[in-house]
Amino acid sequence: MGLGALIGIVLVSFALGIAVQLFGARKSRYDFLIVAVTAVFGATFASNSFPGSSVFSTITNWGPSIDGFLIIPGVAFAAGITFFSYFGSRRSFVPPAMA
Amino acid sequence: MKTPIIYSNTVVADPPLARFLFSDTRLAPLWFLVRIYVGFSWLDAGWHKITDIGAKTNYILDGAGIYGFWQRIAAVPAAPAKPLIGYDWYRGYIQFMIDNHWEGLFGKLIAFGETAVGLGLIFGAFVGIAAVGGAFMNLNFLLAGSTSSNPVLLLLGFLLVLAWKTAGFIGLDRILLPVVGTPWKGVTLKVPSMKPVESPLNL
Repeated sequence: MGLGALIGIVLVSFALGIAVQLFGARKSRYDFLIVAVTAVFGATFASNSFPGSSVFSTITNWGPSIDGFLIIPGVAFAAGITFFSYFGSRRSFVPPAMA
Repeated sequence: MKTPIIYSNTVVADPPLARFLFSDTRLAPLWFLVRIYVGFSWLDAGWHKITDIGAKTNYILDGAGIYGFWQRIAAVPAAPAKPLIGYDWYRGYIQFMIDNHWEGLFGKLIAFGETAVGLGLIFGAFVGIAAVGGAFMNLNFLLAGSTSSNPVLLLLGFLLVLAWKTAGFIGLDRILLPVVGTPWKGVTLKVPSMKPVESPLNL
C-alpha cells in the first residue's frame, strides 16, 4: 500500500471519528479516537493481510484497489470492527457522577 | 522489645498506570485491536496447517510436515556452523519426539491449537487462556530456532495475559467471565481476615 492511500485512510477515518463525536450519542470525549484508530487499523490490516492468507485462500479476486489499497475488504472490515469497537465500548466510560 | 505484627494475608495494590493499562475497560478498544492482530496471525497459521493435505507437508493426516520440521531443526551441522536449537535439553526433547514418532499427535495438536487460539482471541473468548496458549507455542517456536513473527506475537501475548480481565470486554468474555464467576466490574473485594500472627523472627 502506498503512502497516498495510507494518508487517505487516516484522513477519512478521522473525519468519520469526528462526525461520530459530533453527531453520535456520545458518552466520552474519546469516541473520535476509538472510531478513527480502529478504522485505520481495520482498513490497513484487511488490505495487507487478507490477500494471500490461508483463511481466504478461496477468494481470488479482491476487487478494485487504489494505490495498493483493496477497497472492498478494507472498507468492509474497517466498518465491521469499528462498529464492534464503538458499541462495545459504550459502557466502558462511566461519567464520574455515576461512578 | 515491641512484638512486630505480620499479617498473614497481604494484597499489594497495582500502581495506577498498571491498573489503567491492564484493568481499566477504557482501554478495551486497544486490546480489541491487539486481539484481532494476534488472533488472525494464529488463525491463518492454524488454518494453513489444517487445510494442507500434502503427503510431506500435512499436519493432521500423519504429521509428516511437523516430522520434517523436527528433523530439520534437530540436525547438528558440522562446525563452525551452529545448530538451530541453542539448548541441548530442547534438542533432546525434539529428538525424543522424533524417535517415538509423536508427529501424528503433535501435528493435530499444533494445527487445531493454533486455530483455537486464533478464534479465541478474535472472538474474545477466554482471552487470558488463549493468550497463554499462544505465548507457549511462540516460546516453543523460538526455542526451535524459528524467529519470524514469534517475538512480536510473544510480546503481544504477554500483554494480553496481563490485560486478561479487560482484553475481552469487547467480545465474548463480557458474558463468559461473569458466567464462570469472575467479578467483571464489581467491587466486592473480599478482605481476608486480618488475623495478626507473631513473627518468629522477632525483629
